Amino acid sequence: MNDSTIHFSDRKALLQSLCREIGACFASEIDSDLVSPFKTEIPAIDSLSSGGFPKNTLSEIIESSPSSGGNLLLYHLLERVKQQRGYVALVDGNDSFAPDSVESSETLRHLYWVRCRTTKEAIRVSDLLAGDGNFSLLLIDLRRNDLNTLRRIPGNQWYRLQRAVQKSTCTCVAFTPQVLIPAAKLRLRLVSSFALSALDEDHTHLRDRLSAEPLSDSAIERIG
Amino acid sequence: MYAVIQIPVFPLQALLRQMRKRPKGPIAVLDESGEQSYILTANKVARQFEVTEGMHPARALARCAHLQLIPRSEAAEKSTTRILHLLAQTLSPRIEATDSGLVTIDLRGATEQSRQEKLESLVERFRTIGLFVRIGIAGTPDHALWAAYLAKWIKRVRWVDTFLNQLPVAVTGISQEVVEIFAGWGIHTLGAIKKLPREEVGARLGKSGLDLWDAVSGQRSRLLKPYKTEPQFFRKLELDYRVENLEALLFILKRFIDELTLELRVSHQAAFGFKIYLKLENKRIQETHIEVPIPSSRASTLFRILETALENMQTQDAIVGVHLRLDTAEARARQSDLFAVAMEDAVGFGETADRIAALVGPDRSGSPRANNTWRPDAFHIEKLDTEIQTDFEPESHKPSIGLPLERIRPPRPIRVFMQDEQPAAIEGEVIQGIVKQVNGPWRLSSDWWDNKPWSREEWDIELEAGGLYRIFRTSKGWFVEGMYG
Repeated sequence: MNDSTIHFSDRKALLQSLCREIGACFASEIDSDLVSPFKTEIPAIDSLSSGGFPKNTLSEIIESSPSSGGNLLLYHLLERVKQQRGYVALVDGNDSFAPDSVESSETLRHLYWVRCRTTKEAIRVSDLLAGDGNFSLLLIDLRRNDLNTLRRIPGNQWYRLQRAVQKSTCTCVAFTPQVLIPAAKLRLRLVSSFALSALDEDHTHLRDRLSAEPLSDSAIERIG
Repeated sequence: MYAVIQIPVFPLQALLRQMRKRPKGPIAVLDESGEQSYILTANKVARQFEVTEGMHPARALARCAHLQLIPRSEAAEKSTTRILHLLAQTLSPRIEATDSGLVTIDLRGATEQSRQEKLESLVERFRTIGLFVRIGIAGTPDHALWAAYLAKWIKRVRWVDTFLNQLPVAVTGISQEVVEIFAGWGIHTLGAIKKLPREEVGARLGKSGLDLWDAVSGQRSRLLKPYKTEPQFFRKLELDYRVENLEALLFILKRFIDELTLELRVSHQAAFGFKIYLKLENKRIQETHIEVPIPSSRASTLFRILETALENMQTQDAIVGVHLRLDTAEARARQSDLFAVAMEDAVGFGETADRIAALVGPDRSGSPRANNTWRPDAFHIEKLDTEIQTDFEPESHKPSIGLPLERIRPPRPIRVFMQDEQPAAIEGEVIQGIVKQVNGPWRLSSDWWDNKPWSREEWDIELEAGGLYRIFRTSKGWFVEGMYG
């Protein structure tokens, strides 16, 4: 059949079928459907993600407007790993993590923080940590990295990261300023809006006020 | 119950094990130690050309023109013998170095299932280090030895008579003359010898006949001559070729590590460091010391550490000798605390952390700790604990109020337009806009007792366009410190 006679939707179905066949070849990988998700205990996230961030996969949290709860979520995930008696790695794309903002000093003992200077460093470090196998959660914070540089990351780099995560028992969540990761299996945009009064509110109330919306594959913006 | 492990064509296997690229086709090992050289042993392909032990090399070449002749290496045989003894000791401490490439093991005390599993695992272990072995298991050392000769991999003698009926008389190693005597009587197998009256065999063949009959019938109680290896945590190799790249060096070191980890296992030790001495062509010795973060006796872990450490190593000249020595300590079997949090692969994490540190620079990765000071953004980085003991003392907790801050490092200068002594508008590289709401000011200062006093006036602001920020003023001007979110 001539390629030009295949309609776009048929081509897409063909590609998806091919991906499934190729995926079936990697029998040694952990079937993420059988592994329980990483429960965040934040209603907005768990309700949109079948109970939590799926394990052995890459998820993307988009924070496109300022102060919409990205930090609140990120710091809460650190606490969750401590409660679950695991280790968490944070790839800090622009060196913006504030240790003095963490609620409990004990939480920091479970955290491996990498202070990157560039996007390239952040991606390379993420690859190394995804393959390490010791972390139950890998967080990649790229929210303050230069957008043009982020858009130039080739799609296959993200797929490579996804494959590395898939072979491990790790949950990987990347925080981005815009939809950027074609390999992400779960994609949520934070849509909360916090006012100055939030600085006097209890964390539990703030987390309950977090809201998000799911984004599909078609939301990926292709930048040439 | 006894087991015999035999390395067939031992001198040849010992040599091939040391070669990076194994030759193919007909191969024979040449013994040049005596007045005349002769073929010591040959592989299956060479035997098909009727190349046999004891043959003169010229005659062997006449039979097989493509025959590759490799000189015997006593060093290779010594090294392989040591591996054989060490691996045998993983089955039982009671072993006998019966002959070259042959070891007898006393398996009494082990259950049948554990015996079988261990033997299968042992065959695989030998295979991974490049050796093919045959193992015989039987009720007596003699039967076990003969079973090994018949084995493809592992042969267990269950029905002795059936087993003996398969074996030719020559397998016992008795002289050809005696074999011919038995043949003259119509006796061709060990099963037939067993049926003969003992006294008659003794009367015709003397003591050697009696010994043979006792061995065949399983009545010879032979005590094993116990053999114990003394631990040696070093390996040396003088090369007759030049090593000029890392790959070739790692091939040699991998073999050393495989052998040395056996030594560690058998003597219940673990390695906490390596010393590598490289003899260079210019006669100098280059030394490298490598630390193992957590003592280990696992070959894969130790080799990985070695490989990472040598990645960027350079030498002034080609390498003509390699010496590897381990620093060892007694291995501790420790049960982790029930309440402790521990990494599964702390050594593997150590390597990851080293690679990350090499990428991002020192002091930019690790576990953060807030400093005990009011100075903003004061912290230091420590090495991540790969085992966190539960501390039942109360943790220090901040009040869980407000949104966490995301820092801008270093704080960026901004222009602030004031109205009624409060920020009303911001202009800067990172943030700008009309201020919708403010909280503050909070005046802070500290460290006035030493030479780094500081003071500042902090404000929390909300911009009309959205976003919550912390800004501050010092004697040097206004800055934005971070965003809440």
